[in-house]
Amino acid sequence: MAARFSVRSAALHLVLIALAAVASLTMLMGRLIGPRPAWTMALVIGLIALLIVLKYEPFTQAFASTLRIWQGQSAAEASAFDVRWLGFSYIFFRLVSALRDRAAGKLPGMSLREFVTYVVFAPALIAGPIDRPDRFLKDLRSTFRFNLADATEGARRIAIGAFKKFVVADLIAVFALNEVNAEQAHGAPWVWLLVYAYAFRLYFDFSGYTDIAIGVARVFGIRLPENFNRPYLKPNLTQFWNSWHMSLAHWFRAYYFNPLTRALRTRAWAMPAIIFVSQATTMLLIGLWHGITWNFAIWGLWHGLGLFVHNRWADFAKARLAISPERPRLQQAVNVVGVLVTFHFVVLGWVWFALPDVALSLEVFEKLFGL
Amino acid sequence: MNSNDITHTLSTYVTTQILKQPKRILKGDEPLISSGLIDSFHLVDLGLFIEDKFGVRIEDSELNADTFDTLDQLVVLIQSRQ
Repeated sequence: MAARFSVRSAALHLVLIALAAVASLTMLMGRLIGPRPAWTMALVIGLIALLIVLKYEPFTQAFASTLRIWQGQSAAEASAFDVRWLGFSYIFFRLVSALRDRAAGKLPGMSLREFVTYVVFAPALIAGPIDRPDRFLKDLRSTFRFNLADATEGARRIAIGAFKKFVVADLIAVFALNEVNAEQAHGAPWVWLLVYAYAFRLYFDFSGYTDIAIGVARVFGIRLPENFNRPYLKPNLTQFWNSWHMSLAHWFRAYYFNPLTRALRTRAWAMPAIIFVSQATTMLLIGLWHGITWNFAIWGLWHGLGLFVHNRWADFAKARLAISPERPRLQQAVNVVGVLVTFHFVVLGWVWFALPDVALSLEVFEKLFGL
Repeated sequence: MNSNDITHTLSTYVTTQILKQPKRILKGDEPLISSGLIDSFHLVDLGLFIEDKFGVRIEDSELNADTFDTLDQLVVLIQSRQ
């Protein structure tokens, strides 16, 4: 009997809005950043369309049904799992990087084999880190000789990663926030415990995976970029995003945020407007990349608005409230407060990220604050 | 323009226009991006300033700490493209 999977009701309007937003942004960028070869833009749009089909389950289901019918099979046999593409989310980044760098004349010359190795490099295929073509090629082209120091360091990272992912994260996962316990839990302290647990589970799971990927690559002489740098200990949201999923943030800066900001800056927009548009749209896209749902969109905007507010505050404070280097204790106290505020802002943001719908997320917020 | 002049021009721009602390003295090896001293918006502004002042293009994908993180590194980058 064919396995069947539940599918959430289609929110076609949401998909159409997302499609229109992505298409408009792509066209806007195309116009603002100057002429690019038409085929580059067409390929980038094609990749975005494919990403949307794979990221939005009702579309994936419809695509699977079409394929089944095309093959003379019953559409009832179709499931979204028919057309899953392992690692496409990250393949997408590498392909778009290559296209954009090629159009800018910055892509180093490489053979087909080198290019394919870069795009589907096994240790980083499923969840990154996202490397740059020029940096990856440098390691790939250097002659591989067994190096005890690299092998030892690689093994150390693999061991640390396995412990973080399969021991710490899996243990915390038992009581981390999810769809079921969000409904069952009552009392603010318990709900806070679930949310804190989710924050740490996600960090240990993802950073553990990254450690394993970096370690495996290192054994083979490839030094993948780091993805985490103690993100929950950062004193503000800007520094959090400089230390959480760093290669993703780096990619969005290079290929979306910087070109958009540069284009708006040269058109003499007011600085606060530029900051708002750039931060909000960048984070919205990062949210939607995780999946096309209202919750991921809200999570992205949550961080976009947070980054905007922090930017405005930092701009106001740096000229007026600069702390003298002769008062290190005051600076330390300000940093501690900053870490606590930033951590809780991020933790509350995970409520949108962890749960499947807005109503349940709002219910959790009500429980957290005893409303 | 020699490297000292470039350093002085860049340092003045960063302290007055970005940090808004004209009396601050920036060391040549002081991390600017990785330390959070210059945020991503001001990094784009710095790129535009360099383009305008020195006629050197720094690509959007190069505006990061991997390409340059200190005044000294930035001066080398500018001179290598002039």
